[in-house]
Amino acid sequence: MRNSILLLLILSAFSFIIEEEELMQKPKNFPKPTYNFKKNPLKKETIELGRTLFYDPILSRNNTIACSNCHLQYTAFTHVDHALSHGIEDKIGIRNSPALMNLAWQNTFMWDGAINHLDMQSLAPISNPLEMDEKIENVVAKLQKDSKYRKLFYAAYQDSIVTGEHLLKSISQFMLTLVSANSKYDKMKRKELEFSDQEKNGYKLFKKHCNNCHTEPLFTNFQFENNGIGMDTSLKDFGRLRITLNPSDSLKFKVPTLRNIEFSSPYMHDGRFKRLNEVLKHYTTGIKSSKTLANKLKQPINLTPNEKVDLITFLLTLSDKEFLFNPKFGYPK
Amino acid sequence: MIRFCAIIFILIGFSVYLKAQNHNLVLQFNPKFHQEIVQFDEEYYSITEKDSVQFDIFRCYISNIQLLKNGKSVYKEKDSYHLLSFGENPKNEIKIPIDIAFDQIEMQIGIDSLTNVSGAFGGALDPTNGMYWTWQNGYINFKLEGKSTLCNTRNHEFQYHIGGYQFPFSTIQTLKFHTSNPSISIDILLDKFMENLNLSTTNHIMSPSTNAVEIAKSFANSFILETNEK
Repeated sequence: MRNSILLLLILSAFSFIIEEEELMQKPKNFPKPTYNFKKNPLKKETIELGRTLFYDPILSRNNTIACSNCHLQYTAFTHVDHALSHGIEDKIGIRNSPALMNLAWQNTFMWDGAINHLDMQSLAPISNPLEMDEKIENVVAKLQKDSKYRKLFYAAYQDSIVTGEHLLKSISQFMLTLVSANSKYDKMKRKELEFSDQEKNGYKLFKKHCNNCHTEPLFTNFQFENNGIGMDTSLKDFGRLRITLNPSDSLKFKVPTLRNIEFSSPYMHDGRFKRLNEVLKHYTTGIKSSKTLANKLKQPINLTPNEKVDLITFLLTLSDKEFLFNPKFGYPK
Repeated sequence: MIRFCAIIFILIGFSVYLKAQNHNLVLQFNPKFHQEIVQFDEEYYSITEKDSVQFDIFRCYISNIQLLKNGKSVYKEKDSYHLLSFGENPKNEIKIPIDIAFDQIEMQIGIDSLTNVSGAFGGALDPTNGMYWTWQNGYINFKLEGKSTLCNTRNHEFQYHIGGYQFPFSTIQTLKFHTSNPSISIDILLDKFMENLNLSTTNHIMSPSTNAVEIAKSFANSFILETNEK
């Protein structure tokens, strides 16, 4: 009898682990996530609520703009075709919307790190007058009136009263599940397949020239750097400086991940480059020197045309179609 | 029987009264201007004789309430976050059901840095309370808005949204009062606070800065334990 209880306990513990893995992929080749799941434990119903909110324009002032307007799944959850993302009433923002993936490993959000926690991230686009232009209080009131949402909140929190905390945490839950770790690169790392010679050479070049900032396996070191693209004078965007007011942070922006880069064009905080060729051209011959330029870029990067092709071939191994077309991340049925 | 019931009734009433009397720490906050309790949205006040000041919105976080006896902590309130609000639907009182002897009380004005970086919370900390910055994360420790003829701004408005938790712009302030009375009245001397501000040049603060730090310090200095003689 005692043994069978023990067995039952062990089995239930296992099923818990399996269930958690089903809710969100925890890749073996990744470090431990930094997000504190104890304060917001993943649950199927809460993820579903977050997903419904992510795709619902009810978050915006005139019910026209959803998160998914600027964060489309098929383009790595960023805004394709637009250098600067546009929001409510076609108003144009000041930056290119960031791609969303592997957010459980990230501690600061936005190009300048203005946001200090994933749970608080959604507040920024909701209230930005160029994006959704709505007050969180109004969103809560609108959701409270909606019987569909009362049911969804009840399923998630056993409470049909909508609160700001629950609203934000459920959107976090959905975003946390957006894990991209099944690219060709990941499969090579897990020894499920091998790279071609060209990809191997590209990987070697990547490790030599790019990995310092775009560090494996998340392909960012999460730091803020000035990559020498120079300021667009029509935008006058000083990046991280606006947050810290520290002159040594002038023109620094967060190092973005390179995962799914094939699909996340245009590139840079102001979306100025459309193609990967242009990006490599910048890093090899276009660096503009300034006081805060990243140390690693002070020495020129020299690549032959063939090497450039190989490097791009490697970058394409970071595409994860299972992520981009996973129905779990798409518009809720 | 009726007499018996009456006695029981009185006893119950008395014990409830005793509980209310003895088992509560009560903190009351009163914004004052020239010794008068501030009337929001209506009354006009003057700092010098030639100006007028009117207050519309005044909200403030009080957190981390702690009692001390002989310099040692004897009580720390758990999840100690309170949002005070004055004017319409005021919430100017904090009640804590405890009965502990103390000779000093400490509390903070604002929200600590750890809470600031720990994601979403409910209750007093829920971002729907309008005390949270959305474009750059962080709690607004206190908010004071109104109008003054000293402000050369649109509709003579002034807006102080004071917050910031990161070095070197941390605005959280600690208050310490020596008292053993569990019923504490604290005056917030808005006249003193406004006198120290230069309303004509500093009338809109909406983000962390050196200025905000200075204003937070001056704000903390305007909290005083109410004395009975008047």
